Amino acid sequence: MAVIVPAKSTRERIVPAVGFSILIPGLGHFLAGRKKEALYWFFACQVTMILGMLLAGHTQNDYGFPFTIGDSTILFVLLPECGNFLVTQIVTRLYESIEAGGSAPTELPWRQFGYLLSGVSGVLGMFSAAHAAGCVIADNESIRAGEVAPKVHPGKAALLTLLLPGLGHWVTGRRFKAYMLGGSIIGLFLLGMALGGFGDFDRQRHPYYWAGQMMLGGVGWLTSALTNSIYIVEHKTYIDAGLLFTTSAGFFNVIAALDAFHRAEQDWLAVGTQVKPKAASGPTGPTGAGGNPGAGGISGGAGGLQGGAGGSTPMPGNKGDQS
Amino acid sequence: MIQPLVMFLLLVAFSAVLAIVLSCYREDEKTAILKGMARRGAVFFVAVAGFAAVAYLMSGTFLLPSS
Repeated sequence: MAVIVPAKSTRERIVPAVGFSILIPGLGHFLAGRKKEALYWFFACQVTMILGMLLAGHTQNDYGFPFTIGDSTILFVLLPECGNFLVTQIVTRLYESIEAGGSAPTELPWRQFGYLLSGVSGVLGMFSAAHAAGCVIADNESIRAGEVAPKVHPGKAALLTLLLPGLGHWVTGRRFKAYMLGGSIIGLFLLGMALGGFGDFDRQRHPYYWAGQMMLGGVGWLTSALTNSIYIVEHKTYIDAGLLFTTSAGFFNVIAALDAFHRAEQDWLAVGTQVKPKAASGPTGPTGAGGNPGAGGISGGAGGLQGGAGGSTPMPGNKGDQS
Repeated sequence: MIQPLVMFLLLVAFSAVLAIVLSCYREDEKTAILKGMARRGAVFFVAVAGFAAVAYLMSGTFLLPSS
């Protein structure tokens, strides 16, 4: 099956939306004209980051890698918090871990929850980029007259996969894939947890694996919150396999989210055609003025469904309400 | 003590999940996914089992520390 790509002008808007979302979650949405969603993303990511850092006494810093030139740290790599890039760079420079002051992390009873929150902030930051890209596609690739808009835009499909593996496929009507992906990824994760005695989702024990486990999203975060009081007191024969399974489940979920995004994007583009940017269309969209020119009129030969609607086809209104 | 049978079953389980995820990523039709799953799962399983067999043989022969 041929792959449909967004028009060149849409792709050019996706790049800054993704880049600025990683820099500061919400900024990509703001630049895409989604101010309300920009606020939601910004506060969701920053509140979880700050609260997480406070609860864990900034001991997250102990798991990062500073890249320095002379005495200056130019980059502090802390995974997965770096998905919320700029705030991670600022917070890790402003505050030191309590361990640097001679205290032990074990003095903080809520540190595991703090790790979870700051990790969630980073993962959400990464997915905010996918969501912003989906918003750009939804706003710039409008639905042709007579076609029905898909239920979700690509960014939402990716985000739903983060909530529950397979959910992004479910809402786009791919029930078989939803069952297969959801069942296999969650099954692999639970098998891995069982092999590790339900005690190996722990940043202090396995910081590198933990970063991968966090990518599982809602299921993993819930499991982490429920099992963070479990400590392994005896050797588990298959704990290495367990760590491999749980971490792989996290990475597999990223693949599932990418696929959910791609399939939802194809669904959207299959019934859509490019419209003028919001600013050019006016605040109420193209409806009521006889409609926008169709695909051939505006997309300029850069992709999309250019052979679709004719130049005088009336277009539905601005697509902000359909996403 | 690690049991070879358990390791075999874990490899089967991981190969199956890997095959499902990759097939779902590559294909969109149910029949194509099912067809791709069997092939990808088998290839991964054989590759890992092959490496394990070679490692086992080498560890028992010329990689064996001499006394």
